[in-house]
Amino acid sequence: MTLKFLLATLALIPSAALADDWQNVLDRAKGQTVYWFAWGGDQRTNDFIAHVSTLTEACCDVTIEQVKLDDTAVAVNRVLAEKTAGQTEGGAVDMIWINGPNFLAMKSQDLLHGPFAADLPNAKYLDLSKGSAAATDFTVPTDGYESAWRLARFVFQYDTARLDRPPMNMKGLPAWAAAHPGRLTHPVVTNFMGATFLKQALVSLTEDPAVLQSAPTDETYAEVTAPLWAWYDALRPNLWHDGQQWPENASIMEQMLNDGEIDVSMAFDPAAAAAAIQQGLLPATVKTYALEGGMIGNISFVAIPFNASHVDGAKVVANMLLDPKVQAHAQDINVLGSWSVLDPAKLSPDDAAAFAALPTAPALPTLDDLGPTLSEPHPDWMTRITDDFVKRYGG
Amino acid sequence: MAARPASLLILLVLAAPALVGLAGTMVLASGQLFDATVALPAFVLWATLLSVWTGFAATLLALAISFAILAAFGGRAARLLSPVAAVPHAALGLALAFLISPSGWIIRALGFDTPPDVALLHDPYGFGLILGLVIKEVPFLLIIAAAALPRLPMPLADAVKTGRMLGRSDGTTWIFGILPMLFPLIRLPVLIVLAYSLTVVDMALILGPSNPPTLAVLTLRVAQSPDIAALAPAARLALVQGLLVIGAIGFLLAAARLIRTILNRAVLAGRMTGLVSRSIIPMGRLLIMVLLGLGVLSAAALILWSFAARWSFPDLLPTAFSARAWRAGSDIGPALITTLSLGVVSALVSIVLVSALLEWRDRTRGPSGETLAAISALPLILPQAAFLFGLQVLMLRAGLRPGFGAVLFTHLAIVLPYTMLCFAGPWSALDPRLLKQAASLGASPSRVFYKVKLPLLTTPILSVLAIAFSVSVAQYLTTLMAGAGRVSTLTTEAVALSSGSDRRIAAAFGLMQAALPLAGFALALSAPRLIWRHRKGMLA
Repeated sequence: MTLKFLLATLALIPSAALADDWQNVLDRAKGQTVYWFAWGGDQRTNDFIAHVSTLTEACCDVTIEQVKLDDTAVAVNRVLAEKTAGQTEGGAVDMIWINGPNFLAMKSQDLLHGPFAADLPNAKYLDLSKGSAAATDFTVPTDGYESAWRLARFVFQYDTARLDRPPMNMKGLPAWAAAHPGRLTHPVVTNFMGATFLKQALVSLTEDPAVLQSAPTDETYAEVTAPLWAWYDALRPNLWHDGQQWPENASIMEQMLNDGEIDVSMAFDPAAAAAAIQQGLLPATVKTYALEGGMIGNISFVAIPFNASHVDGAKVVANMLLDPKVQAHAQDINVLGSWSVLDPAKLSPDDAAAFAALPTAPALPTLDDLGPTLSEPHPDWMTRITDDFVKRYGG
Repeated sequence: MAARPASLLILLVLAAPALVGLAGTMVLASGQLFDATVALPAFVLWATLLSVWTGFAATLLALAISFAILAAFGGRAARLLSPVAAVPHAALGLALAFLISPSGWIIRALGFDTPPDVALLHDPYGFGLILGLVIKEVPFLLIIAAAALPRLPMPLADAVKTGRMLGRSDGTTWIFGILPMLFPLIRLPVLIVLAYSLTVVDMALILGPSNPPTLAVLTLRVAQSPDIAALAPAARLALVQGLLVIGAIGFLLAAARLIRTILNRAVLAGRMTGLVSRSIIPMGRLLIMVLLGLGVLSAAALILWSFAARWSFPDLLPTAFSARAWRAGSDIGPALITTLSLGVVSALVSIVLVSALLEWRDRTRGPSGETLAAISALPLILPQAAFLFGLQVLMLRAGLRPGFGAVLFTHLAIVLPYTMLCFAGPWSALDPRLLKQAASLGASPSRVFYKVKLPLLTTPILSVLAIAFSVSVAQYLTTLMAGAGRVSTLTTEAVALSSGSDRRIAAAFGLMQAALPLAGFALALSAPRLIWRHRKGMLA
């Protein structure tokens, strides 16, 4: 298809029609309750979602009912079970907080509604050009089947009262663990945080990270992962509980850091420790840091299942999540502390000022502290290394 | 023959959801999505062995401990521990987790300055899970056994007296005289405990091993794995659980027969003394103290955590208190209302249906008490996963959307049989002379039902309602699967929070979850006094 043809097609759609379409969405959405299936392990996120619900209720008579998951796969399976049972409408799931392999699985099985992301009025604040961060999920093009809502950055945390120098790079981790036996662990690799720990190691240990940007072949897989398994074999004996057992998720690790059971914890949110300190969940001496060379980062999206009962309500919510005021609110350390997904160049001066005026906190790392953001490998890497890990080490 | 439709109807009401669901699971298990490799055979084998080990160890230990306590205290012991019986598995698990974890209360009391790197919680051999199950099941078995003592072929006091006259110690009399008479009377509840322990999910998630986990947890894990093709292997694992339970029951019954033979031989040979006979009563005294102590510590741990602000290792007590968990836990309100509604509705529906079935059976001379018990026990012995997978798909096909209604339906599938099991006894124990007299005075069967049977049964009805309510409150897997995550109860939230970072909120949910059934039982115990305050004779 030529560019000319595309432009000609676009010209046929009057811009008023787009606005009309959105008005139709708003009309149909009135009075809907959106069942948003979202990981519920973080109270601040749960509170934020409740806050967004009050906004959509005020503007559009749409309420959000958060279905708190401990694993997003539950929502994916729900939709599949419905498809298997032949239920093509009236599904239980209206919206899912999703990314990576779960997105790829749903997209490739035609379990998603869309494309819809570019039609949201607030999409104009996003950079949705091909290959941009908000249009790419773990290297897979989103093709409009999911809409961005928050940035995530992998970080480590340690308690300065118990530990002077935390481990600073993945290569040196086995040596550090040997000097501190039993004080280091990671979440089970079937949990996304555990998988991220492995990916962080994979990216750090690989000579040529560019190979991770496309799906692995049997050859590249064998070559790239050989150092990873050698590294883990050296690390494992000195892990917590001899590396025979791993905490279920990062929340449990946070509690273990508080209890002094381990020295280093992990989070996908640079503001997590600051928030936990405020709530009394961690001692005030805990600090957030990044490994030398940078940490993996990605974007969280929302997607709508093909058989969702409240498609229009879900679109209203997805749109609200992209509102500059909502994004600035989310970036507030006292709320979520997660960086905005919007393109700063597309913000109005007023909105840009709102971002600039956000408070800072002592436990919150600066962008300099965090160093560069490493991109996620293609989802098949994650699927293969977690499967392989389970085969090698259990879990 | 009028008996046949009655039996069929009862079977339909009590066991149909389980049987139909089981069939559905079988279809699912043989489905085309068969080739997904979700877990290695060796991993599944380990998980199965773990289930066998934890299930049997917990059941046999609970049985032995209950018996020792019974020998030391008689039926009185049941009353002392009955509050623990009302506490749901999840709440007890949460509390116990804090007692036994490497940074828990026991380690803190021992004076460690750094938590030991030992898997005390989620230990790979399932000792924590066994401990939790034992604490939970001993009170249940004691209540069952205490209720059975009056039905022994000879009065308990006479048995003990006879033993003493023959120069036998009380311990010897209990083991060689009373145990063989008692076991047949409590066989069915013991089998239910065994089946439950082999397939428990919520407590195993909180206390059990994680790598590999028990078979029941592995089944749930596979069912929820992102690999969409994993539903069929999950259904197959659920069926393996079913086979496991059947095998375990057969084994236990055979073992019981063997033990009976050995005991009889020992009696005939006159070899009746021994360490076990001598120590059983002192052991019973010690064990009840241990159980009571763990119960009290568990309750204290939950209460303290729910009000803690800062509580770091190795402090024995929180350094700062706050009611944040109760205030900020804004989810408690909705979850509490859902839990209450599910519990009250399923208990009321169950007692009405069960009363109607029993009355109809009486009028049509339907199946005997034993047949009824066997039918009721079926859904309770079947692993929940084995019929929930199929039921979930069938309910969707039938247009029953996941939500309150679907959860209520699956709760009823469990609560109804429990209600029948608990209510059939008091119903049959009604004095037939009173009923005959009422009939000979010209009362119609309906009048007898409303004016004689129901008033006479007020006290048991209230206790059975409390039991039914507590069974509904404690439901985990049924709520999780039929509700598709949309229906949050105190139980699903408490289990979810057990793998979160905030022990305070988890403790608040655990306390609420434990408080509901306790309140139910307190109400059931005190209500008859209120209802019959002008008719003291009905309280006897």
